[in-house]
Amino acid sequence: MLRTCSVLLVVLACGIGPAGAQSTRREALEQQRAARAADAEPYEPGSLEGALLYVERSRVVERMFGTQDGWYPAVGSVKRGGGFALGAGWRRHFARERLLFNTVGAWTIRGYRTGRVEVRLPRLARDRLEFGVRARHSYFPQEDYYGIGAGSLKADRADYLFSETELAGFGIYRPIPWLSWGAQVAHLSPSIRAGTDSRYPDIANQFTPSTAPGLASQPNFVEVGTLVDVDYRDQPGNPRSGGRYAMILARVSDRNGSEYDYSRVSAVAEQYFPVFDKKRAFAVRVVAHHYSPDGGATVPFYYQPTVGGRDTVRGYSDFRFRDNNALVLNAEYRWEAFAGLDMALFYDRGTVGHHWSDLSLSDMKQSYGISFRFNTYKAVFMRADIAFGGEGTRTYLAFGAPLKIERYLR
Amino acid sequence: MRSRLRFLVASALLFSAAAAASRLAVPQFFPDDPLATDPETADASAVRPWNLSEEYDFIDNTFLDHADHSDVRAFNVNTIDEVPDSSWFTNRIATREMSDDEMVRGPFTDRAPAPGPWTIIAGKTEGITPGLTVRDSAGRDYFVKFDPPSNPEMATGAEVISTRFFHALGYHVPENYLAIVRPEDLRIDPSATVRGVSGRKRPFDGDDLAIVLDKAARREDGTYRVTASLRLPGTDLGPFRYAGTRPDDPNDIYPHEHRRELRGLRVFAAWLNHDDSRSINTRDFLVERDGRHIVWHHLIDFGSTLGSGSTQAQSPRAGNEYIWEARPTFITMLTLGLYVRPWLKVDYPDLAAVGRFEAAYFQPERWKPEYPNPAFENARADDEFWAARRVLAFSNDAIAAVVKTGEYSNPEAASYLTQAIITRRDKILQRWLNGVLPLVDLALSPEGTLTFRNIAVEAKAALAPTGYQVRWFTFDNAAAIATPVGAAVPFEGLAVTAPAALRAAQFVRAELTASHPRFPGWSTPLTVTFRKSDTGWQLVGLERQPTTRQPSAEVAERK
Repeated sequence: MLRTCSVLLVVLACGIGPAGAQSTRREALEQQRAARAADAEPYEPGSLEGALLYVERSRVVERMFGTQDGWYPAVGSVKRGGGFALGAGWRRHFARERLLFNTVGAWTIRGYRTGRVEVRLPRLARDRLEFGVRARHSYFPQEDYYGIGAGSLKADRADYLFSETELAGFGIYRPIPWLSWGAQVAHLSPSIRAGTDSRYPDIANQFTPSTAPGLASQPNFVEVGTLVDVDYRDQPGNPRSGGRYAMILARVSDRNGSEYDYSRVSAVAEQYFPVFDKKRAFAVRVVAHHYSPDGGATVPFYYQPTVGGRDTVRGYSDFRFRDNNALVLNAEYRWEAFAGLDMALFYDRGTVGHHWSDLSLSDMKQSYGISFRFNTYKAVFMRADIAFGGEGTRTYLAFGAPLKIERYLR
Repeated sequence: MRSRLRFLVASALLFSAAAAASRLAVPQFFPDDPLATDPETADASAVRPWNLSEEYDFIDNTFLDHADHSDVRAFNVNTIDEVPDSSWFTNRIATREMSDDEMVRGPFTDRAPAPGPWTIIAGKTEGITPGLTVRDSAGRDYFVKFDPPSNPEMATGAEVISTRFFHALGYHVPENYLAIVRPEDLRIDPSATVRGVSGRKRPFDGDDLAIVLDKAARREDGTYRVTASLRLPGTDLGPFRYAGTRPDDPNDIYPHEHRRELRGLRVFAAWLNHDDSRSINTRDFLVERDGRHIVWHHLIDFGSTLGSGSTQAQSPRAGNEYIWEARPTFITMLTLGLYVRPWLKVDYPDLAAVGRFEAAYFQPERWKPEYPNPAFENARADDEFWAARRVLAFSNDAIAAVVKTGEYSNPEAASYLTQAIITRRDKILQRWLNGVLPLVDLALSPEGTLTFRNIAVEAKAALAPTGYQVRWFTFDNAAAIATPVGAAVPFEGLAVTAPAALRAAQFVRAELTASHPRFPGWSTPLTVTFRKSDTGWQLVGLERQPTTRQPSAEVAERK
């Protein structure tokens, strides 16, 4: 109505027809403008526009997904299966942005919580060098354990509380944009207690230290590791071409003895094959973990690699299988429905084994499904995966891109 | 809000009544019609800068659509259907002789960056388009943009070429100079700042410059090819919108979706693939003219025109589909991606300096910007004809001369681009010269002979019709009533004589039509009105398409 009236006013008043009692067109238009000048008022945005301008002005997006100084909301998840997380953080750059202080805490509806304080030097040597230290505390009260090995039973699901305090220092060197080399030292203080999920038995009632290594006691650990990362994907947050190849070597030492000393090697290879100007893409990924305990030692169950869930074999629940070795294969066919939505058909296979030689390509857990990814050109900000096969239909609502190698980095 | 609405409704009704009454008393044509210049005489010094939310602009134009889409003639045309010069538009090509040299000269006023070092006074390292603000040795400020490493010469070439085209077409554009800069000629002013990753401004340093240059195409000799856009004069007021008006600007009386030059921009944007023709790439400045302040309106940033997508080759979607369109989206979803949009299969030349630009698949009427533009959606056949006439005025030589200013090192790039622009021009003429009866230069001689040209036929965009029809009227200007004199008369050729009885009238009106098997728009009556003067008959009225006030079929289909 408002705009129709406005249009009507203008149609009647200007060049379409004669205007008022003026002797010239110029006079008519001048009078019209003089009348408008009397009513001129500053523009007032409506509620939606005002809200979006506020978001822009307050740099909310940069706070959530970038490194904007000040308070920021932490939204998403703190741990697979931990539920939707909400929290807040505060960060501040110093010394011409060469030093960053950041602290963040988040809670989930299932009682998971985590807090982190870190200091980083992210812009050394023209962005080629980075150092940092961090302290992190995690409290995950409803973790799932099904036993060791690919033959573990769904019915054996037990519940435990995992908490851990980590103190770490790291350095990363990027001589060229697509190559990174990193090293890290971390002190870990894990703790296992009774879980809070009343639907499942407590781990101590269902398993023993022999069927759940590390259940009896949790020593402190020191992990020293290194990472080589070749990453030439086009958009790391939403890749459609290129590839990433990374390997992590780490030594984990039991600070109270040698019962849980082990070494680990994790390797990830992912490659994207685009067609039709990247509007379609085939993605393949292989992830392999080899955790090797020292003679007479074991790998504690809570640090073992796992298979199952939103980042591995999606037809199984998170952490469904675990052991010292794991192998995961993923294949996806992705297509762009429109600029803000990608879809994908995926096929996952994975297995675990006590020894590397136990991993059998012919006897792997598998699932398939369809995925909806809400994204920008540069990043996936939310996805919904519906997986079939495995142990029933499973639906995941997750933040961020699938197949993220970061989940294997400490 | 409700009371304001009631006030407006009441005002509209009162105004309608007053206008209807006054219609009986005032002439249809004033003595000073047709106006050549829009009298923007109100002082606009109270106008305040505003911000535009890009996200809101997308949502508003894609889903909410607050614009008015009545099928009305553009509001700002004069009585002979032309756009008077204004703060929005200056008549250049097609309204006067414009030499190739003048087109090449474009908006440039010999204020290219002066020789010597450039002092960086601000930088932009965030986002995908890095850039610098520099001051040359003469103290002038420029915004400097680079080519992406993947496509040397592409964005800078598109910028300087499109700047000249849009200037010749009549729009106000910045002086975007092509320049070569050596890194050693870039000095950093101690007070230079950049908004860093922290979101706060901090001093701009050598590392920041390195980041900017890392994202730019470096030439073999270590230099960089850039566009240096001279800072526009006046107070920056932010972008203009393609719908509504700026409520604090007293001169802004025409809703922008009903401005002829913004509706017609659709044709030019299609021609030059200016898919980023949205508010964010416009700018208003408060300037002083003749002792008062007015708002001067510009089109800026042509980095995403032709085959350039600024930081990479243009997306194949550009010009072919809005960011959001339900039908192809759902088809693609439901067919698991087996349905491939036709524009994804288009071949482009392997010319990095051109990017993605072609003419074979191009269909003018199907061309689309990034998201719906209300002025483009309102473009009617008369708006498109007005624009197509201007496109027609670019000869092959003129196009080649303008493309040459892109200074492509690969002659094949310039040659391909020239030919593609020529082919797209011809497709535009074929489509949009023929939406209405394409007669121009209508004149009535003192002896009563009406003459005209058919520019679609002259441009070989249509075959000549077998004949025309004319119906004559006397016109009572005071009462705005046309009285027919006889029935419609068929005639052949480009001239017809008025009945002798009309020669004594003060105003004579003629209604012309033609029939064409391919172009139904030719049957829409073209109405011309002449006023007797001391020297003969003066054209004072011309209307190519009547107003229905309901969205026309064409506009409705586009929406």
